[in-house]
Amino acid sequence: MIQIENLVKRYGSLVALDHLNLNIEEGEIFGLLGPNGSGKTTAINCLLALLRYDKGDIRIFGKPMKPNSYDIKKDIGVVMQNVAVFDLMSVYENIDYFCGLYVTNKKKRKLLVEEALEFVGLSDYRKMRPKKLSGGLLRRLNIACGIVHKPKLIIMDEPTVAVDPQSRNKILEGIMELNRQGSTIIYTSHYMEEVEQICSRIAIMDKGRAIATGTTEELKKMIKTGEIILIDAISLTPDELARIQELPHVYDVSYTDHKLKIKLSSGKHNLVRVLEYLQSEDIYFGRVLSELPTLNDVFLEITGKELRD
Amino acid sequence: MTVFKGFLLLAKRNIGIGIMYLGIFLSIAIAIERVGGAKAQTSFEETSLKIGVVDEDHSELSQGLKEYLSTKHTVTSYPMDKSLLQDKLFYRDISYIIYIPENFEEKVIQNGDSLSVTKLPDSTSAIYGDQEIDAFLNGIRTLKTSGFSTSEAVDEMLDSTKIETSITLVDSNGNGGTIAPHSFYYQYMPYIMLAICCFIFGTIYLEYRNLDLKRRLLCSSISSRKQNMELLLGTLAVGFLLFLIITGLALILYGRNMTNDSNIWHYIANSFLLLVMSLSLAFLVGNLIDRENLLNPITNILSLGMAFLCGVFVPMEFLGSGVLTVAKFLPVYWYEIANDILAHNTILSASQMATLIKCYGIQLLFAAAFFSVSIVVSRLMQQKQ
Repeated sequence: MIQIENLVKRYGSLVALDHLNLNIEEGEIFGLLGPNGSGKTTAINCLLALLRYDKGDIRIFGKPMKPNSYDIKKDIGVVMQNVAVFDLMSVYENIDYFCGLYVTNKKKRKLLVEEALEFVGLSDYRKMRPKKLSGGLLRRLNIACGIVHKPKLIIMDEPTVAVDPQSRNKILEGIMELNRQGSTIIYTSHYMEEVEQICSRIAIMDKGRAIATGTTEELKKMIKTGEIILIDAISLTPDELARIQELPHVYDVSYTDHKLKIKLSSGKHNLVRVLEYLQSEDIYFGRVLSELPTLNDVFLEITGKELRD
Repeated sequence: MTVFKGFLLLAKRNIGIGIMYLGIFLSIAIAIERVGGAKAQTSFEETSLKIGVVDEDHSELSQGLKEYLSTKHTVTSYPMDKSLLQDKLFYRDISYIIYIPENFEEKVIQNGDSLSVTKLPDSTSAIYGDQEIDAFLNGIRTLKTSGFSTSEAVDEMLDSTKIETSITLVDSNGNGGTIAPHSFYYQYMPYIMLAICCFIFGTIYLEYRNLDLKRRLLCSSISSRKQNMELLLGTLAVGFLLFLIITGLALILYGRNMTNDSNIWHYIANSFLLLVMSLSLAFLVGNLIDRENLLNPITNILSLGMAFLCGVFVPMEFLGSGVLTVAKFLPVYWYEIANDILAHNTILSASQMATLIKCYGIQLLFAAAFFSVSIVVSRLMQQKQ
């Protein structure tokens, strides 16, 4: 559905997009994950022909995307990072206005607006002005304005920034519902939990490049870490630490403030083996946690830095 | 036509402000017209003075002077009592005192001495009284030089007062020498037009200048060119509606007085050009400012500033030459010049018509200039973004 090839965008000496390549299939919820400044919004702006790029090629629905590609734009819904609505119009009027930019039939528009209001849960607020809405409701209005015309492709640029957890869950459920109804979604965020929760495929971006692309599982398989074991309230000697390091599948051990962190590659009975060793050496310990690697671990291992800055 | 309808909706949201400004405008225009607009003068009547005379001569000539003055004025004889005469003058029982000395004829007619008088300084009655006495004395001198005796000369002068002159009032604007009431309405119109246009349209343009909204609208399937055209159409439609309301109010308030005015189409043309200029200026304001809280002060500075500098609130004849020089660089000045010509003349001479056309042209040029600057500013802003 969308092909981005060798996309380069420079702001003076700063390279915002560095030969970005992406291929997004129909029916996907495609996540663009990366820290602030990684090039997510620039990529979206180039995709929407809001920004001119220096090099590369963008094709949507098989056609090249240009500023005057109105036949393509009519099938795209956009939810911007910042709320973009008219302060002087009510909730209903705003949604109707944006719907009117795509749908001319008045009857059809009325139905679509009602559906969008229902979908984002703003039916009771239809007469209110945006300034009177809370941050979460305002974000929902922003989404309603973007999806009201039932587009084939929805591009959402960090739609949950500064939203309370309750509203965030509601928004994420809505996005999955839109996908179930047939829309392909491109979703950018720097919240890895969100992306992990809703996206069928993810591209991790850093310094304007997609450094890894795949499903959550595929991404996690790309890295060495298969399991992380955390053990609290433990007292260890350097010899004991060295012996833990020699256990099967263990490749990294760190010990600070009586907290032990063991990174292991994928393997069976990793936790049992560690606990058996501690028991055999009669080493006392407190809480034990075993975690699977997160996208942050993927990012950390690939780039050497945390995803959240 | 979504953008056009949206523009109308946004304009509707500001209707309260528009009504408030219209209320202020109507109050000012009607109040000033009631206070300042003089009653129409339809007949001519000679002014009569209250003249006190102290006659110490009691001659045929002094009697003649008193009789001559009595034909038009109220003449009262007083004894030579200085404090009494000063009191009479102070309380305006009389406005002019003539002292006729002994040997009046010898001193004043033959020797050419001036007649002693007491009058209210810098008053029209003083000038008028002087003229009346001069007319009598000069007449007597001329007649005496021509060989008339004093008695014959006095009789001739008294006979001359019986000659009646027919007076025709030249009514140049059809309002009996006064300014038509609707011209006050049109005089104050720039204030309301500028205030409403800058505030209402400025608020709407400010909404559309929101960068996020702009980008969002660029993502839609309607071209930005079409969107801009619809915005322009919306501006013209709302502007024209405003013009119709203001003109309609004038017709309701002044009725036949206005429709009978032969300059009605000029008033309408002048105010229409004012509207075009105001819309253009509002477009510039909307492109220049980026914060809502700046809109109100800028609207007030522009509307009140031009109103005070260009003869809207203070008539131009009371403005200093320095102020008028500055005002020439403002469009409202040319509107007021045109309005002034229309207010004072029913039949326009060729030179007045030429001045009117010049005023119209300058207003149009101002509108074009504001619009061009707005486009340049808009482009610069876009590049910056």
